Amino acid sequence: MDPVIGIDLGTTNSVLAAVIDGVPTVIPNRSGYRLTPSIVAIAKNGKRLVGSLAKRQAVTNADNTVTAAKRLIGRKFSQGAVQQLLTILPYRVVAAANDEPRIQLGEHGFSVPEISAMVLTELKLDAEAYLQTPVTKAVVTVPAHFTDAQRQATRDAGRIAGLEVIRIINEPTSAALAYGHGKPQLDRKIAVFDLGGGTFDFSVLRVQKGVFEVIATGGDTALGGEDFDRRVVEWLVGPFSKEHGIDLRSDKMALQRLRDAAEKSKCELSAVKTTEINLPFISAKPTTGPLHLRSIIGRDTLEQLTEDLVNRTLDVCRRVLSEARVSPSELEDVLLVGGQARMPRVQEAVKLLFAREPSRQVHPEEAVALGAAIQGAALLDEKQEMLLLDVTPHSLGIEIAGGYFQKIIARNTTVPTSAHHLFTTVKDKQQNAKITVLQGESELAPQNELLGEFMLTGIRQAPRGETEIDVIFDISADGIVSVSALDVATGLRQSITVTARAGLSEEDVKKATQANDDWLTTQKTDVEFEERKYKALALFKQFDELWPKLTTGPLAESLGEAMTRLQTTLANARVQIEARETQALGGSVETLERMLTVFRGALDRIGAGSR
Amino acid sequence: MSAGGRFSSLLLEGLDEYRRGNMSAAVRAWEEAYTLEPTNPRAREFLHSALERIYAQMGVAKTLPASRPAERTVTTTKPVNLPRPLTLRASEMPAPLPPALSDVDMLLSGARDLVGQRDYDGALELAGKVLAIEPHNAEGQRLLAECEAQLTRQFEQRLGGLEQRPRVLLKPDEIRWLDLDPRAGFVLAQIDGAVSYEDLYDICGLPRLDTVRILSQLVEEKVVGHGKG
Repeated sequence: MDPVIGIDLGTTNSVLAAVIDGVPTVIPNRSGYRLTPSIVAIAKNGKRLVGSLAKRQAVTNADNTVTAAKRLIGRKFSQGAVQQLLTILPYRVVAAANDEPRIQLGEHGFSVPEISAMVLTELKLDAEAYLQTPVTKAVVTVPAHFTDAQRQATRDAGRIAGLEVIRIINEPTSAALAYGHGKPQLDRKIAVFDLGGGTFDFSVLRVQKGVFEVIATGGDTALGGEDFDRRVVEWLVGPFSKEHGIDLRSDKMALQRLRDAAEKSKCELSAVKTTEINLPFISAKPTTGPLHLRSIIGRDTLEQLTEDLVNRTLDVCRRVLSEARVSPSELEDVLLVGGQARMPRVQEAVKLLFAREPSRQVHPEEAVALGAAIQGAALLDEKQEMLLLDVTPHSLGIEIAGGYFQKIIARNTTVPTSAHHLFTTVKDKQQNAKITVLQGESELAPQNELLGEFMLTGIRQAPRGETEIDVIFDISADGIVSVSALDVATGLRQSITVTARAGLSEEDVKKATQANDDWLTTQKTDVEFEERKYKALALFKQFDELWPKLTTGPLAESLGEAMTRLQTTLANARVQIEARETQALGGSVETLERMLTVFRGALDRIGAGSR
Repeated sequence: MSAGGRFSSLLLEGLDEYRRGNMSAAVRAWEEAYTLEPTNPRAREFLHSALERIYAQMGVAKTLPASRPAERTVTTTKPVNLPRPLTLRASEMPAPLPPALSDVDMLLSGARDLVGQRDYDGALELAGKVLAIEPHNAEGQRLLAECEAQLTRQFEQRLGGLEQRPRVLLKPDEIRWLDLDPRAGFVLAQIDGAVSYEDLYDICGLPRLDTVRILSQLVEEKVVGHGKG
């Protein structure tokens, strides 16, 4: 059976998992790390970087490094949220013809799904390297508040990366799946407190005998671990600036080091009470020479610096609980998810709010990916009885006369679901009706998000108010919305599966998929070339060492023709390296390896020693 | 320093002074270079150009005579800031002198010479100066690229394979006793035993030559290596 991978495609980090021999397992990336930063960059030398390498040059190459693409995915350029983001994003985002945001990296503009696809491609390659088999299917998680367009765009990203996204599931649901795995009789109301690198989400779920239902969800999309890091950076640069009159934030290299050090110290302070930050040669002054930054930071200092951030998470929790009419005491468990949730102060605050110890049954950084892997395995295995019930994070409906919004499916309705509403014509002899599908909570249509629109044409002509049109909404288990309109009298029907207006067309996705495939091919060739080049260089060195014995020793005369061949092969290999001729170089390396064995054997036989 | 190295350094020193307008200092440096390598035409050409400028400032003859008496001392009629009289032997200058070179031509010919002598560092500096004056000068760009490639190759050879993952061999407290600038400090901070030299090129974001130069220096000084830290 083809493996299915579970992917937690996070704003700042992504995690990959699969069920291996029945055990949900996190798959480390090819560098051995269990987290892969969701960062893509075109390095100054033109190379595409994904993950930790991209992260490590994010500050010094900010213009060409895409962080937090997830904040842009499935959105329209003109949306307020995107315009607000543009003021803080260091990279360039422009509007494409269909109002789709395009990210400018070097000379190329990329759609947001293409950027996310680069991260997914990297994860796919990691999975294939680990599982030693091609991987084509995935379950990908998204925040519970993601709109239909954002889900569609995430699915597009998967396709571009060569992955069939067989299900998209909500992150809190996924964490709960990991929590409930192997406990078929579990019946609990739980909360998932997910404080990741860039966002905070809080959800209340009911887990009932294998059924997972999101009761309510909410969050703060501008609150995460990076805000905590920034506080440490500010704490470091203040005294340095006072002492030396230098603002380290204005020096990109210094800022990169500060951010790395801040994150590292923050993580260390989850385990120890104090830690040292040591940044030698962080700056220099003509008068004093090199300047170093050295500081000791305590856990209490970090807690003071970030107290308001922790409080913001609690405010969100209270709001969501109040909306869901759930009191903290009703919750039987609170799962901590996300790297920042490992901070002791966060855990303490959660404990105080809910008057109970948070659950330690799931790994904060890995639970979401593990849940996705569990769901993936369950989808392939018909014997498994696992059912996910998510809720729709926004109300759905259509625009009606007067520019108002008629809700057809209310927010927090469990999906999959279906609902319909009867409308009547508003004009005499009305033949067409435009169905504008919207998502949001405002009573005014323009203030909600447009999901799509279509025309119902050929309506039976009649006085206004007489013709009834039944509008039916369907939301699949993936959260994908389909809408149809039916002329009740004639049976005439028009329908659409809502696709993101700012999303990619089928042709765009195909083009991007092809481009990604081409990149993979080139990448593979590059890797092969580098491997062969290193082999060749090692062989050159070994022959250099043997040369005196081969040319002046007792073997010299008898090797005449072989030596000529060796010299030719060595020369060819050098030319092939210069010309980057991968295939030909492979042949030369093979020949050289054989000759090395033969020559060494000959030297050993005559007692000249080959080493 | 080898005689060749000293020659290059004098040539560069002279060029620097020449570009700053310190003709006497330029003459002094090139005269010494000329003494070191009398057969090298470059020092002679440069000397000629510098003297041309001095004479122009003084309002005397604009070009030196093509041939001279057996020994001749060039003296000035107005006080100038020459360190000492310049003595040139005719036997050492058999060919007629070419017309004075422009700044760019001088720099280019100097760079070509230094490339010929495999002094790529010196040539790189001169090519850089050419491009500072004429950013699109094709010969300047070619020389710059050649020098960068050659130097990069030389430094990379000192590193061994680029796939190796260097680690810092010193204790954190010892690092601050090194003589590094912030850029080298930044490169050093990226070395953690997990990333390869090739990765360091990508993440440092500095020109490849600058990165490998720093790395090579760190390896040479045994600050980083491939052994256990």
